[in-house]
Amino acid sequence: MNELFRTPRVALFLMALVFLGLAVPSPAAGLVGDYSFSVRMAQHLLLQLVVPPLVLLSFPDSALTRLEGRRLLRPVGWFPKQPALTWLLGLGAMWAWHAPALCNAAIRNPALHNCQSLSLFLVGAAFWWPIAGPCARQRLPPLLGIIYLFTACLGCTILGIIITFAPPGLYLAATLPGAFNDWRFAAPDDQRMGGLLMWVPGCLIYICGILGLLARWYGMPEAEAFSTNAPERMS
Amino acid sequence: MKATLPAPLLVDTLAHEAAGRGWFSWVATVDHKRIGILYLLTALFFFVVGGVEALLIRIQLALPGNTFLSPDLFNQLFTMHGTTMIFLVVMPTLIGFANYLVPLMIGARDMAFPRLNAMSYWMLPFGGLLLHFSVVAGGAPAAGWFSAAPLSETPFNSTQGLDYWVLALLVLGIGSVAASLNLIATILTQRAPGLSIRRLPLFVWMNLINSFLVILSFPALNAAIVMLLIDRQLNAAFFFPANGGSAVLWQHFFWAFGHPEVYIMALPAFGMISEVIPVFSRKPIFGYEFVAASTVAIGLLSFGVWAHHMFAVGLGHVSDLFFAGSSMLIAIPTGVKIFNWTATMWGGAIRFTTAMMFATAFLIQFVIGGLSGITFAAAPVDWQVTDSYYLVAHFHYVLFGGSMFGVFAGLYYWFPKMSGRMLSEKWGRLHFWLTVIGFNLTFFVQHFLGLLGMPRRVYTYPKLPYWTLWNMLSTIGAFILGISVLALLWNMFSSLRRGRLAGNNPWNAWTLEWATTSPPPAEDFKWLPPIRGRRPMWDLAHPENRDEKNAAPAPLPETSIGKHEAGMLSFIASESIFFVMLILAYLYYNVISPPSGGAPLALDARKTGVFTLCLLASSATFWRAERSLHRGQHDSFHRWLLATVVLGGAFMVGQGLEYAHLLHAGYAVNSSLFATAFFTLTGFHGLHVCVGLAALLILLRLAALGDFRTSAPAVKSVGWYWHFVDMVWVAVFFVVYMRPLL
Repeated sequence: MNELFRTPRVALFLMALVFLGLAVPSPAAGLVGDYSFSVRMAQHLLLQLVVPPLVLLSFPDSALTRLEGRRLLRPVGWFPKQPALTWLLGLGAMWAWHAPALCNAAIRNPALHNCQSLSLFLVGAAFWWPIAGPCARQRLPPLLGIIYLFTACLGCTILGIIITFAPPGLYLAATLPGAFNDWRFAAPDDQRMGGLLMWVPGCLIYICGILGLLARWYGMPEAEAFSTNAPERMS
Repeated sequence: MKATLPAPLLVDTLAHEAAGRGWFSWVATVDHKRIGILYLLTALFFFVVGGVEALLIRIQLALPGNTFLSPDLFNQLFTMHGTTMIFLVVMPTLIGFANYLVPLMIGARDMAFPRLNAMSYWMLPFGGLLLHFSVVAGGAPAAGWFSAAPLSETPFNSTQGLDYWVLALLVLGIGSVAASLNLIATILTQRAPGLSIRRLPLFVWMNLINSFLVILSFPALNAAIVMLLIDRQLNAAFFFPANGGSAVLWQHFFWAFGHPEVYIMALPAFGMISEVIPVFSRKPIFGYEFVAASTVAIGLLSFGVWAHHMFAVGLGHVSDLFFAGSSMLIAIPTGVKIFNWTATMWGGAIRFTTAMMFATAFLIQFVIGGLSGITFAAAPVDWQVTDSYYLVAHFHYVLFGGSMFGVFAGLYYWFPKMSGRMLSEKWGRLHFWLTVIGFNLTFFVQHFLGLLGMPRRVYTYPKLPYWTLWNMLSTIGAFILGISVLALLWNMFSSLRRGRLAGNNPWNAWTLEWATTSPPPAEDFKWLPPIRGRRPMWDLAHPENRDEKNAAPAPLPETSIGKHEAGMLSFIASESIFFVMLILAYLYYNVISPPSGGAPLALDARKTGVFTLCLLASSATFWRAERSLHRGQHDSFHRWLLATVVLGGAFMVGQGLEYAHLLHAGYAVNSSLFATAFFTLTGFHGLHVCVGLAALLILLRLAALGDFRTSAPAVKSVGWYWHFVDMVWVAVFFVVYMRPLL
């Protein structure tokens, strides 16, 4: 029980809750999300890139290690061991949900929107599992993890750049008449800001992940730090 | 030549060539030490050339309304000064030091690919010649070092100067990328037993990070300049707004390279400072991990902030806001470094040798350059002072007060290792003080000139209050700086002849390069100390007080990647960025901002789809070929390889048919921006397929000769390249052919 309530873990978990609260039930997400593409984008980034790693880092590792061997969880356990797959899922979800057709459909249809939010969170968890997952054995070695995050960052940046420079009016949320008209925040600026959110702060999240990996790498004992295979011992 | 060898311990043919005497042995050398010295000498030569250009500029600006230079000549001179100093001086100097020192510092015999190393070097004089040939071919380039479009387009720059500029930069870029992937492969795979990546000397670590910056940022420049060349030579209009192109896109492409380039010119100098300061403070570096990790942070951030060079373009407030914020973030990792260096000096037994004096001046001047840099990150301040002498002062504080001072510190520190003789401290001090006074006099007053509103890149100025005074002071400073270079040259010349002998380790330093003789033998080391920490020479001298007391005596397991894999993966990473840039350009002109008038090409996705399948099938056949080789079935290997070549050839035939069809239908490279973007993207891909085919044919020839001794890693590397080319086509096919159908 002691391990379950270690302060940093609790702090991480509370942070995750705060960000989740900002992303889903908060007034900003509920009301403005339908009128502003950039708020939508912030919501997506929180759901996919911020909340999942915080939740994963807040897990106590021993609990999951015990569960890992159970027959029921074996298929689930296979999945996070495939970094190429989780990488593709993470990046694929990001690109697919921001295709104008899908993104706009999710704005019109609340059920689809819920589906979008949930899938972004789940895919985010899968994506971060090899980096921040609670089972040390399923984590990528730090140097490979850096490549994993860097390439994902690149993919995310390219999408951000495309949205930033795309012709205005692609996304429905940005063009609906609403609160933002009074705030004099023009629709083209809104879309651009959405793209920039993905491009710049989105990239910063990955950079934080990379720096975290470097910190973990420098903290490892020598013999483990180099192997490009998964470390054998639990941290 | 080889007959007259003094015959030391020659390990293999490479050393045999390198140890020769006479001038030709320097041309034919593949020894990293000689190549490093060649880099440094070439850079020194161009340093003098670029310096003289700067002095001419300063003479012209000494007085208002001066007529010493014509406006056009002035434009040519500042363009050549900037291009020379960046591509022919700072980069080759840093690569030269890396070439000489990295293998020594990691206890290696040579670079991972010695012949590639020689090629990288020879690209430098070749590129320098191309650039300077423009002077006799009608006039040097005159659009500034970043050749802003549309000024760099033919109607505004009709001489051949800019074409030579493009070609020179392409050649120099190839050399830099080759040198960098060589450094990556060397650092990852050639380390001595015990030298784990976490124990790398910081100079080596920073060169590793720096090499990644080079291979990932130069492709952006290459994409931009080949597009400019297509504009200039084939009458296309990528960056020519009058015909529908986008001048802003040039800026995005150029600065996507240009901003990382700033760090490319700074990081290795940071590495030198990180070696010099601890040795002359007699303390290990404070917070090694922080210095190392902040380097990674700087490298990563550098790719996300280029738009701060474009605040004056009018990207909109939203964009400015984001890039102002992200640019300011760079101050954090840079500040971390400054604090680490200062904390290393704190309480140390500092020896103010010339090297240490340069390192100390570096700290102060780089902070000044960094502070003025932060002011530029605030967009409204940038609008006021951009393209004024305030900017000139800022980047000279970073590049001269920072990078060059770091290089001077490194030169005084490592010259004894390279030559076997110490530089004179007396002349060194003279050189140091002349440089500090000259540099600060030249550039500090330029802050005031900029704030008074003096624009850069204008050949003269009217007689306004204080302008003459500051300009005259700046010119006087420039001449003091010129004299300081003479002091350096004399110091090097006289020390080479009469300098005190250095011995192995004159500074009592700690890294591996000091374990061998000065200068080192052709094979670098006759003996290596055991490596059980970051400072092997310290551990050797103080066995009772080692840095890492519990370090394992046995060699550590090293990275499992081989040098061929490391080299090929770096190359593929670099090429990927090149194609990302071309695909983005295609999307820009076809989807994001299609020009009015003209229509997208009528493309036949089905017919091309068939040839696409051929290319994809060739990847599968290659995979089968590799499996056969693995099992030792040489006939089967031969057959599958042949099938790969045939399928690849079929793809090229398909592309040829499509081109013929399009040309017949009246589309040409310059007929519309759609066509230009299409032909550029698919053409460059086709070129890469041809390169892949050439490599496959070489393999096939080797297989036919029955030569499998060395080909397994080669087959693997060629295979990775071939799969990469296929993957690129999948992306191109989707973007060009499938997207319009969605």
